[in-house]
Amino acid sequence: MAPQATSIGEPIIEIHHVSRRYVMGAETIHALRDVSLTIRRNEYVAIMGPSGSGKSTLMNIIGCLDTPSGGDYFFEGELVSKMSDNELAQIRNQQIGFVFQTFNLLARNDAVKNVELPLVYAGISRQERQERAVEALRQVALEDRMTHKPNELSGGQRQRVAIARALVTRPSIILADEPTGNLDTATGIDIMRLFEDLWRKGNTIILVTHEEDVARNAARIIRVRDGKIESDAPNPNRIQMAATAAPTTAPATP
Amino acid sequence: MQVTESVRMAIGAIRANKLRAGLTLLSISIGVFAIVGVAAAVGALTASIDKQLESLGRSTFIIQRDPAFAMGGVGDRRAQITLRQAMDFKNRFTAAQEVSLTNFIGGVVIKFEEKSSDPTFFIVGGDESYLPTNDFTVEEGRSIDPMDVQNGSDVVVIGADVANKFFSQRSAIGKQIKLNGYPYTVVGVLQSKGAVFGQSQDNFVLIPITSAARRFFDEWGSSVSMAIRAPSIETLEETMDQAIGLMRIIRRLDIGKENDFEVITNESLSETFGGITKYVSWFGAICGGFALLAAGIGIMNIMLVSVKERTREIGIRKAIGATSGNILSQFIIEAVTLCQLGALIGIGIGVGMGLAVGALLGIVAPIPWGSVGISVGICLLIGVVFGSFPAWKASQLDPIEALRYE
Ligand SMILES: Nc1ncnc2c1ncn2[C@@H]1O[C@H](COP(=O)(O)OP(=O)(O)O)[C@@H](O)[C@H]1O
Ligand SMILES: [Mg+2]
Repeated sequence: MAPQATSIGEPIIEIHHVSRRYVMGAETIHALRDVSLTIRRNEYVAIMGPSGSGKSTLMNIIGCLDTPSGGDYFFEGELVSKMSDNELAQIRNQQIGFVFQTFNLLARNDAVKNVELPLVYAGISRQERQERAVEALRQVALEDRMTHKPNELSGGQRQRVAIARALVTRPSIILADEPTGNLDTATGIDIMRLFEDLWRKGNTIILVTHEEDVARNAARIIRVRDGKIESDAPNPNRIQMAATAAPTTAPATP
Repeated sequence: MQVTESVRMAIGAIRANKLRAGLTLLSISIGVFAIVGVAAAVGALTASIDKQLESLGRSTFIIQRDPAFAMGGVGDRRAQITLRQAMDFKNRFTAAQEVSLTNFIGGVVIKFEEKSSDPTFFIVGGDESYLPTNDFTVEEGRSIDPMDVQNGSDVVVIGADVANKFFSQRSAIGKQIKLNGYPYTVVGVLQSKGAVFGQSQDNFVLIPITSAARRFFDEWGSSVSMAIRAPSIETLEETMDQAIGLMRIIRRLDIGKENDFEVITNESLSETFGGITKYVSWFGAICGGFALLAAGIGIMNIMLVSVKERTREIGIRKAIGATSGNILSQFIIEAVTLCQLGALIGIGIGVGMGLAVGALLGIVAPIPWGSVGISVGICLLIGVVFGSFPAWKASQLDPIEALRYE
């Protein structure tokens, strides 16, 4: 059986000439200028670029949190600007798992409650919510920090709670904005192994990073500069691995 | 998302902001307390008065100079009902089964041997039916009897307070005490009836009304009150008419002149009282209503501050899939929860006050369910009405902007 990682599917994210402008008084900031890209199901994409180049803005648009100032964005073939607020909320809740650069955890809630939250809006029962939250926290090796509140956790631990929350709804698309930025090397490798695993199970992974080491895990690397796509190319290293179906992190049987 | 989940969230939010929530709760509680507390207290009073009227008997009415609830100095313009008139009435009025005469004299100094009291006791001038009519029981000795009344004997039955003060260990029977200097022989001691509103019911002495008139009546201050029992409830009206007629003759009232005395029945009493309590209840409800209106504006204010403070939280919730409707209902439910918590406290204190008043009056006060229901309803309405605008503002926040809010 061939690993699913090689079986790339239909386009799910189609961005056509998208721009995003922020008007700050007299000044207009062009966070994105005429960006076009297509991402297919089960791709593993890394977005790289210097700070302020528009990576987070792009992620927010992909994640249906933000709307473009110009251009069109089709999510699974549907024009996002035509979707209702409730449809967008449902996509954010069920299709996409978003790991925010700034974590965005609820300060008053402990780790389990934070991870449970998306399931609350998905209408899952209390019992099941709790079980799944605990399971997700176990996946990120935080089972001993379940009842800690964000301010009782280190940066790396908060990041892992944020990852667990993104995974708990079992979304098909995972968007992660610098998910290893606050992790030590060992934990970073664990998390990358987790993403690898999800990718193998058929999920689409899009992550922002400024570390070449992290980007090397992806099958495709998009480089952004000044709100524009500078380069968009397969990762030769990874293609080869996928072709031989033998990634270093998780050897698979051909 | 279910309502229970929203309520749980609301309680979490309220606990996170105890002081602010506490102040809001307080304002709601005060409003609800005004409604429920007044209704409960009035209920207790009404129940107690009904009970007292019950003991008077349904076929009994009272003729006295002044109205039961005097709103002005009406009595000053009416001549007293003298003992002579009252005795005359009692002798001539054959339609009644029983006529009992009473008069009160306040501020009497009691002296026994070397010991003397402050003028905190009062004298009841009465006859043989005073004690049974007013639910007193003789603990030791005897009551005054018709002979005492006829002869104007200087005998006295003392209340429990008087007995305690002067005869703590020994028997009082046969002893001589002085009432404002006049010697009286103790023939009986009463059982204690306890206090009502911290006011003792046992701080008096009972002497024959004839003796009281001889010793203590002054020309204007003393007026006799007559409790008249008709043979049956059916003959009450008729007996009353006859009594009024006889009273007019005795008082020498020309035809066309108004009665210069009051006829009070059980029913007229509870009607008068019911009228008063209705006003009091309405007054409480209106005060409470305004307090709740003010509290509602307070709720809106606090919710607006809360929405502002929790902008990031709202952004996070929306970012992970909360719909505008989820946010809207979360904040409305939070406002309603706050209101209902306040209502709960107000109802608790209000009903507690009713029970306390009832306990003072020696009855089990009824719980004013009507007012409780109205309060809960009003608080629900206030939560929804005043919570809606802040909740709507919260629901309309843009997720990205909300997430960037510091
Ligand atoms: N809400 C906003 N208002 C104004 N400027 C913004 C806003 N969001 C992002 N920007 C600006 O847009 C540019 C791109 O930001 P961002 O996408 O966060 O970059 P990156 O994630 O690559 O560091 C930056 O110059 C940033 O200051
Ligand atoms: Mg960024």
